[in-house]
Amino acid sequence: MREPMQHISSAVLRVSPAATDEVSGAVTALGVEVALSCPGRIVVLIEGPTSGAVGEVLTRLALLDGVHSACMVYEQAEPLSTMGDEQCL
Amino acid sequence: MPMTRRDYIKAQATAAAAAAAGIPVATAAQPIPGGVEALRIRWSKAPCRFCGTGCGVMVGTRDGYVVATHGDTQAEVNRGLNCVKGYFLSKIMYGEDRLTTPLLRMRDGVYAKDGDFQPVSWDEAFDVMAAQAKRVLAEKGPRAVAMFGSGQWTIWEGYAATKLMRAGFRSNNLDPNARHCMASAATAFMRTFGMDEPMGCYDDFEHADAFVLWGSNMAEMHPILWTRLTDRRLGHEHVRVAVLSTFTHRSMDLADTPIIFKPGTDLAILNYIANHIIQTGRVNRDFVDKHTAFFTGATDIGYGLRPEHALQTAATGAANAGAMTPSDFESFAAFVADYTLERTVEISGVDPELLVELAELYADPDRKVMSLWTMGFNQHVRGVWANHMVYNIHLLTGKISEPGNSPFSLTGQPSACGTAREVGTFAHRLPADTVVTNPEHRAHAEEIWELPAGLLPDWVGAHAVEQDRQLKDSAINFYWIQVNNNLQAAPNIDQETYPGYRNPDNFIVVSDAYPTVTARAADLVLPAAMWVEKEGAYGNAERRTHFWHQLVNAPGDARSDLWQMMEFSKRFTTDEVWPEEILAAAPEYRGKTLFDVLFANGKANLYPVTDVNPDYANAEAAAFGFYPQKGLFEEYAEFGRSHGHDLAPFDTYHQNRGLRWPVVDGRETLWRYREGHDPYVNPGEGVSFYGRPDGRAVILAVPYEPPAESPDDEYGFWLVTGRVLEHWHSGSMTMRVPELYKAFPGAVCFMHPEDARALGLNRGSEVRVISRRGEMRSRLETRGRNRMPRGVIFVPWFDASQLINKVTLDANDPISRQTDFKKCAVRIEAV
Repeated sequence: MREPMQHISSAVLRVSPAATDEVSGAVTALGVEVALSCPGRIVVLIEGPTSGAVGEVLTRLALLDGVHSACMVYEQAEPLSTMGDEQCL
Repeated sequence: MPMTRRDYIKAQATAAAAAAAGIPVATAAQPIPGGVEALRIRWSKAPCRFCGTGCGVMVGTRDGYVVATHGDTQAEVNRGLNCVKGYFLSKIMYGEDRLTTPLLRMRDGVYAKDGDFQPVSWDEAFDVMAAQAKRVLAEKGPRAVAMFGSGQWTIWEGYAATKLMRAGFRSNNLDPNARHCMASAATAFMRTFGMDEPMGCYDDFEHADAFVLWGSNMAEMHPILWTRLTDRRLGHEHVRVAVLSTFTHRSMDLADTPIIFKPGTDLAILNYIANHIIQTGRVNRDFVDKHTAFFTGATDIGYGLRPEHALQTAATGAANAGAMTPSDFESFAAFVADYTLERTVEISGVDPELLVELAELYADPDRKVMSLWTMGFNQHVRGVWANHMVYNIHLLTGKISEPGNSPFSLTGQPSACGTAREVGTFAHRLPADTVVTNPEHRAHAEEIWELPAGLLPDWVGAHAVEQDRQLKDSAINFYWIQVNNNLQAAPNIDQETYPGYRNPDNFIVVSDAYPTVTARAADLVLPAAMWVEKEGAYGNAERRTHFWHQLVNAPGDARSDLWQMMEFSKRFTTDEVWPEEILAAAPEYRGKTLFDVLFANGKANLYPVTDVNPDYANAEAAAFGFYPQKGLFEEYAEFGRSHGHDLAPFDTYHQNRGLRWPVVDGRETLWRYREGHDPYVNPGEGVSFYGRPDGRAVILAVPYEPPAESPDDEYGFWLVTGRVLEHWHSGSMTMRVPELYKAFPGAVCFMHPEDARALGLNRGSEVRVISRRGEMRSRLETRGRNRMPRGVIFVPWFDASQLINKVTLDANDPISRQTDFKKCAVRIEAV
């Protein structure tokens, strides 16, 4: 049995420019973090225990009204137990 | 302020996304020095293994597992983005029911067709399999053995299959599931241009002024390309999008011109557009006169059903469905003149204003148009015609082979182009657009393969649907299926597919990573390595060939399809499978194994193990003692070099993110047939469709003809099948992602709410979907992403527990032999 993991992922939503704020609100209401946005584009951060959980959230974002496309950019999985460790650079 | 690992990863993720989206990055989100390498992950490039778009991903591995992926910022296709399926790339390899050992149906310790699956060694599996193949070859000869592959095969796997089947077993009964996917597109390319695959490329997305989607739901099926299209539309006010479909789906949200037409009537709309262009004087006569040739096609060509079917016996043109007779512009103009606006409205049910708006996108000489299509066109009993008709429009206006003017056939599988089409795994094809029926082409293949003259068979093998029929009829008795789930994907499975698998005369082998419904119906199941568990190469829809290294090991005893075919070939000698007259004329081939003559022929085994990049494993090189991927690729590339299909040297593709062929003098080709872009077009020619002897592309006059089956009093609904965003094709990989399974656990039957009310049914009601072939159960959905017109239902086919293909009809395009999964008649009853 592999140890519990935490998946962190970022995605870009293409939205109708006029609907950017409204979609951002809908994203936040789903419990998803809006990291950055500009008219027509929203960067979101999705976290979950599995890749599938993260993917399922992205699918729901893709189907929100006003969203034309939702594309994943980055995903990383790390042991949940190490997530609070201080990162040495 | 100290930063936790979580903060660090979030900052990294945000920075990557901001860069991909072109958003100015806030200070807090800037990448941290040291980058992702700081987290001890090893990163390597690979193409995605889902659809035909061919996105590049960076795959992060640690301790033998894939732990991270991100869109490859260096990949021109996706520029750092990946669609939702990108999340599943690592997950798909780690399903709990992954096959890790061969399984053979046995009773009392020996093979038995009615036995239960028992784990066996590879040796025992291949012993039984070889004995069965030899039995069938001895009893009935090469026409009784067959193989069904896939557009998910790597390039060298498809190439090994074509060598093993055609040269080894002397059988052209080799076909890919790409037959179900884009055979109509491939056939029309050959008929129109004399060469397969698009002339343009994805760069057209950034140049077009209008996009027309013909029966394609790109928002759900090709999301990365849809993102490029969306960027172009939202960033440029003048750009227009037209979407044609038989029901309303997600892609319609962006459409300026949304068109819902009656199933099958796209043919009439296409001819109307050609007529509109002619009637309004917008034909590009200079282009047409110099670069096109007019033909008239055979009509009343039937529906690819069994010959005794009433629709076949009644079809006057069925015997020579592909015939084309030379014609001229005036005849063509007179032919399409019948497709007036009024008549087309009547046939298609589309608002006349929308039809004019659509036609004007093509007719306007100042507007560059990209046409896009996939299954709506290709899975069509007149799919080849539909492809021809869209080329007609682009050719009449000269809107082709230049940036932004692009008729573009999308594909559904990662190497439908690179493997199924370019390598030639169709029943009639050899590599690089050559065919088995041409004696010169066969001789050329025998020469490259260093095999005796006259060895290769000249008959066209059984296509996908015909293979199923022949298995049922006991004409094919040995069948090997790799990388696909045909028992779920094929049409009319209860009547025409499953009976052949369980026919006592037949031995069915399935190589797969998971126990699909196809594997469970087999007699022998071989565990397969997948994606980055092997070194691979795919070719995407824009002619881009791209490679990846083996990044992790396959679990247990799972082995790549390449290893399976090469290892299996050791169990046959030429004396057992080649005719005496061939060996008598070439005695030096006597007593050799098929492995010796196909894979240790001095070419496929030319490159030593030391050529493998020492940073990566290569299970096949370790097993065989040479570098088979490199040897097979270089041998295969001989077919296309200097023939318009030039590929770069093998090692080059490991260094870059893929190149679009023809690659001449190290340079890829973005737009074929156009001087200045394509090195095969001579100076002064401007445009040359050099795939055809006269250098001209074909404009074909063909009519609207109705589908094989339409709704009637007894079966009152159109059934359209297809896909959903969450699941890829038969769901054998995506349904094994538990959370995704939870998100869309079962297929549903999308229906118009008023149709449901008229039947006394509610959303969520369990219903029986019944056709003349069979029935299945589903639940009604009257809301959501797909909104149906009255009289049309949509059921996706990803769900193995709800097999919609029990209901579909095995009618297919008589020219391409691609099945029509989009049009048959059903009735709906409450359970």
